[in-house]
Amino acid sequence: MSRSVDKDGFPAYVSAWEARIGAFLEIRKPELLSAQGESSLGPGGASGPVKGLPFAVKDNIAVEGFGLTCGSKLLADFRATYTATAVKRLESAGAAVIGKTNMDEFGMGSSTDNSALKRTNNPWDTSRVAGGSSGGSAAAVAAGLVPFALGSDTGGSVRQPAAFCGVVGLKPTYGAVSRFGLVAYASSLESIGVLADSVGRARDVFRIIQGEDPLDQTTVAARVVHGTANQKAGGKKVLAVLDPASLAQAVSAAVRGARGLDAADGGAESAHRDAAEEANLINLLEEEVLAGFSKAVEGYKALGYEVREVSIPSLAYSVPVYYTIATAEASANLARFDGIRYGKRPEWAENPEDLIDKTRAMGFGSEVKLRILLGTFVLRSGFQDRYYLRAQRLRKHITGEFLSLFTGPEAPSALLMPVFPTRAFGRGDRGPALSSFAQKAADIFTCPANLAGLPAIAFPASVEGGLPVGVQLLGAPFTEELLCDIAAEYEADHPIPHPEGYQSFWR
Amino acid sequence: MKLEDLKVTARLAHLGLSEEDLGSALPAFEQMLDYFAVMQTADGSMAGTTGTADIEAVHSDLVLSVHQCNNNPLTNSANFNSPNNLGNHNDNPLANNTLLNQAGERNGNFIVVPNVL
Repeated sequence: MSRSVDKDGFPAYVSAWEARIGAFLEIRKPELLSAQGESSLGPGGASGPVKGLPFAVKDNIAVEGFGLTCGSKLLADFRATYTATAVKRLESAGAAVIGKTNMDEFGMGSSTDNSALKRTNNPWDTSRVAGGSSGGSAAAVAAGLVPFALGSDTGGSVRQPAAFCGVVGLKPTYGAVSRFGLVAYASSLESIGVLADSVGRARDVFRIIQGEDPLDQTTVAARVVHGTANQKAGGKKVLAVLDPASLAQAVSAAVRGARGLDAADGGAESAHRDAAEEANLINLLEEEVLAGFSKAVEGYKALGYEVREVSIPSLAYSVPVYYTIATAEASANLARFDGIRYGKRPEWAENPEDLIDKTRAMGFGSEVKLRILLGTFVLRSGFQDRYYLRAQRLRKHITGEFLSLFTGPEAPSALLMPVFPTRAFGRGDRGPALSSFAQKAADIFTCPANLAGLPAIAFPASVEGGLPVGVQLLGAPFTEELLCDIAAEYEADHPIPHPEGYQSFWR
Repeated sequence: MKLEDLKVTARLAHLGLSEEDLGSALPAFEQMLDYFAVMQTADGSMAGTTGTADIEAVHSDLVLSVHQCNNNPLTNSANFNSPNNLGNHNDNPLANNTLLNQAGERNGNFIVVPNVL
């Protein structure tokens, strides 16, 4: 891999794309980029896979000297005073941050349209969303503005925009990459992840940023598991596949059960109907996504893999479990944005309580307020048993099912799943074409990896109807290398697609 | 769900929402709570996942699966999800009982921790 090969054309290229897609909240002047010599693009060692390469960072990851807005009005003027460990490691390896990318406010959303600061468009079709919440990072990579970018994945926020924009998205094992410098949203679920223009690049970046960090007590000195030497199932190449139709049936059964409970409680049977039916509908894959997923299955069969269908019954509960825990943690983590510790203060307040209320009322967007309300509610005395504690028990069950799947001499190397039930969705007159609730319910394929703390890699399976379709591989803890090996096999036969007008400045 | 409940929750969360804001947030809030109610069906379909009396069964299942996973060279990691961390399981029943007996307040096999909210 080499650094920019055509720096003269790069500034104009960046300006033109950025005007169309709005990936960055803050970017160093492209002219400055072209004028930089190799030495100014990071100190680095003599050589290395990222030396001399620019990269982008999601705006909830601290980089000293840059803003740290989290896509929120509340932090619009906030500047980072230190640099996140993951970014520092990349800088030490010779890469340089060229800008901060747009995101859904505090990582809450699946479109990046929840950013309070600007709109980001999909490079494949600018009338469509880039996905989220790391939509700016994914769009920047897809358009060729950077070879790789950092994002964060709490419930699919790296993998889903990667699938929407046709790039590679790697969500590491929980604890594999330091979260020091990442603004916390749901601490037990989130990881800093990588968006890249190839599987090999994602692997290179992961190797640099992973590892124990004394500044993050949840990191571990993981034994990196290498792939090809560790093929499981007696040396056979075996992939597990989660049949999307059977998962939709399981969700449907759970929803019917919830309705039955309503009736038994003496309540109206229709009490859950709207939510349940909408959730049910979104879990049915769009025709083009099913086509892309089928191509990936066939592609792996052609590569000599035995494809084994599995079912994970507890996945039917994964979205409610995920949102119960994520909102509970968000309500605690976002308490610091009170105008006293962090956040833009109102011009006038009667007392400290009033200051806090006004700061949060003015600063947070509606989606963030909704999630804080939900999180506060599920933790309230009297409701904890029904929601939060039940969700924690179910999380353990989901984790157990996944660990069992990857256990034993005949266990598959990875689990192949869709990433999202639709391709990049468009926008209507009143916002994204997919409702806020449907976007949450559609996290069913991505949030399990976060609940169980497992690594996952999303990559393009095909292009259907002019838009990329992504699939993902989930693996046992710390099998990132193995997942990259398996994804790279597919990539070798099905090169990463690019949007019209894409130009590669890096090899 | 009543608007009054939402008002109390908003006050606890220091969100400073007006009546109008609360009114417009209520449908989305109720929709999510309705969806969360799907978790109740797990009580029937996943024996051993609910209720304090059954929690040890869940822990046993998990510890077994994690143990299997840890014996697997592919997933063996010195630090990730050791059985003692996952599910707060303690193999020593004596230590469990001592802890429970010394707790200020108990609910079945759980120690009650004061609500920090």
